[in-house]
Amino acid sequence: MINVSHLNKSFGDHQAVADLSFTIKPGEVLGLIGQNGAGKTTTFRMILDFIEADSGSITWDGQPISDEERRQIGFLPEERGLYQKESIEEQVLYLAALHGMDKQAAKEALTDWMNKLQVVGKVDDLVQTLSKGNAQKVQMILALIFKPRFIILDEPFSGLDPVNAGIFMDTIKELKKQGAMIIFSSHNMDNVTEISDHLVMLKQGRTVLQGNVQAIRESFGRTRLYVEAPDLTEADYSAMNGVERVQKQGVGYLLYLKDEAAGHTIFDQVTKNGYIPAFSQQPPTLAEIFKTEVMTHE
Amino acid sequence: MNKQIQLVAKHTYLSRIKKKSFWWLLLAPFAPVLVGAVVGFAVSFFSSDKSAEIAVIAPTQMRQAIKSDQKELKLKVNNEDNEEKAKKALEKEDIDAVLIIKDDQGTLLTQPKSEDVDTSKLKTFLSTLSLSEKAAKYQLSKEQLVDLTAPFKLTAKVQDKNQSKNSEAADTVKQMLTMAIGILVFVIVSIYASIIGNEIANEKSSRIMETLLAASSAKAQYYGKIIGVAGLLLTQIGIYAVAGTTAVVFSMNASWAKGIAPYLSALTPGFWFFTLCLIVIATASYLVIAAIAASLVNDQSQISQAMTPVSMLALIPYVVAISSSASSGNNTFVKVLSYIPLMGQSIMPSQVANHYANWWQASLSLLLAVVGLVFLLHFGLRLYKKNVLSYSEENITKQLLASILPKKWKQKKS
Repeated sequence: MINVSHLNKSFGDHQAVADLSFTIKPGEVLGLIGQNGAGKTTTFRMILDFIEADSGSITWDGQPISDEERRQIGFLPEERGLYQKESIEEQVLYLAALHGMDKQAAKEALTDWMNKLQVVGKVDDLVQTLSKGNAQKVQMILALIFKPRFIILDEPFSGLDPVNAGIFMDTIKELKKQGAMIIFSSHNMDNVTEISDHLVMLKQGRTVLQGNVQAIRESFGRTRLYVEAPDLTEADYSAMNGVERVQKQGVGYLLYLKDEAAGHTIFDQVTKNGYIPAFSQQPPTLAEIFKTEVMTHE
Repeated sequence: MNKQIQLVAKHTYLSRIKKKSFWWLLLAPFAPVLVGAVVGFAVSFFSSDKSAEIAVIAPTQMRQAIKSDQKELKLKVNNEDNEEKAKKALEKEDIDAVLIIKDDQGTLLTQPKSEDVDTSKLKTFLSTLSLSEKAAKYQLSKEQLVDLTAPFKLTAKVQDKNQSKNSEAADTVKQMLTMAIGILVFVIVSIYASIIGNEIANEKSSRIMETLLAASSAKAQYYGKIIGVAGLLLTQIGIYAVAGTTAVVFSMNASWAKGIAPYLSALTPGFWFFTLCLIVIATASYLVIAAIAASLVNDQSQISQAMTPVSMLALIPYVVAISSSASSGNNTFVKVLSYIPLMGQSIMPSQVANHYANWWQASLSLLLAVVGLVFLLHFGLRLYKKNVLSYSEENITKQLLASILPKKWKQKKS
């Protein structure tokens, strides 16, 4: 288990990370979200010992992370970078060796990963000939090839098309199943919602939200109501008690409720003539919560 | 050695040695020599193909003597013996020169387009001729003349505890050696500092550094790169040593080799070993400084700016070595400098060869260079670790000062 406790880091007068604490157990995924400059990358850098924390502790199974253990952390940096004039195989084998992996095992694993992540190209292709997406997949292979037990992914989906983002999501889910501890940052809240067990939301280095993703959403109340009732108009919905705002969404309407309890009376009203195709009362999305929190704390 | 340092060193070494640029680098020091030889040959070839046409206005006996030796003097003496006509011909640029000799005084007239006349050769010839004429006038025998003109024989020897050497040979060696080591060290330092600088700047600008540090550590990257690049230097020295030894073995009996043998015998194997050690340690020290400077850049375009202070530093011992070659470096300033790390490598070897420093003093210089290197390695690691992941808009000097100055001082300043 990874335990980050009361971590602080300042750069001059700027508090980059303030009193940050969280844990990640084997088989768990933690999403770290926040605006640019919120302290996500600084947190990763402290875990990796690139920079020293001013105070607080980072432990792995109750012990400070040793250099040997640190080499067992799979890391995908936000700023992607590869040796442009080396082949895929040359640099993957070099980095795998630095992580302590045997050359033959790395060669075999590279072929598997190339297939799994659907990299277009051969192992002896120079990196400079790869497309941006494929280069990013090679970067992901570098982070995962040595079967790390703890994985840090800084913005893994940025710059990827939905198909490749889906491949990455599936990979993360599979690693989770295998028992890896994963922490990742992302600006895409749909991805965070889909794969995170827990999340930490940072704002200017401070933790503004923390916990189980679904529990956090539920804590804001089920105040979003999607309805498809063919006979009702926007004016009908706006006139209903407890409806704050109405927004057309596809073939139906999204109602913003003042209180989740209003859902009961609205349900009765929209079904008084019988069957309707859709009635879904949900908590706010993570993206909405994120925006609200950012605005609230400004 | 730590396995990761070994891996980084191997990667740095192999990725460079596979490149053609490294093999061109091996040939680079010979390029100026080769170009010089070709140019020298061409100049001598084209300048020696035509003799200067000259009119000699002199007493008949002297004119005949010059004419009979004209080939050796690279002259073509024409038949004109009238001064006015000869001068007119010179004015019209029909001939290259006019030599007028009257009462033991000679005047050589030339025109702008003249073929070169070797005046020193001509002067020596005329002096000998004049001397013979005077000897005959004073009725001196040939033996008396030889005895009279023989120079005083002074043989200078340097008396050393272990050996004595021919002073003339040693003097030549001293000057050549002082200059050669100065140039060699400057070239080596410039090349290898630039290699490590580019290596680190490339990794920083391509943003692969974070991936590398996650897989290893700043320490492994720092030491690995220095060892890898030092390995390239040792390879270069090794190849030169093998090529040099082979050349010596195969040309031992050649006349040119016998000619330079007395000069080279002044330099013992111990001397060569000491010099090599000093050069390798000094270059490693410069590699450390280059690594620190390169860790401050944001991208490849800043690398020449970052390497300028390193080159400037390397220029000091180079200038001292070159300027002191004439005086052989026997002065206090040069002597003091020969003990200072980063400076001594260009100066101390010639101090030893010149017998201005004994082996104890040389060993002290080597020891100080080693201590300097150890300190730089330790200090450099701290700066490298601090800067290698930082991308600042501030200029490199400011960043360096910010890294070196204590936190308290910086706060006080701000």
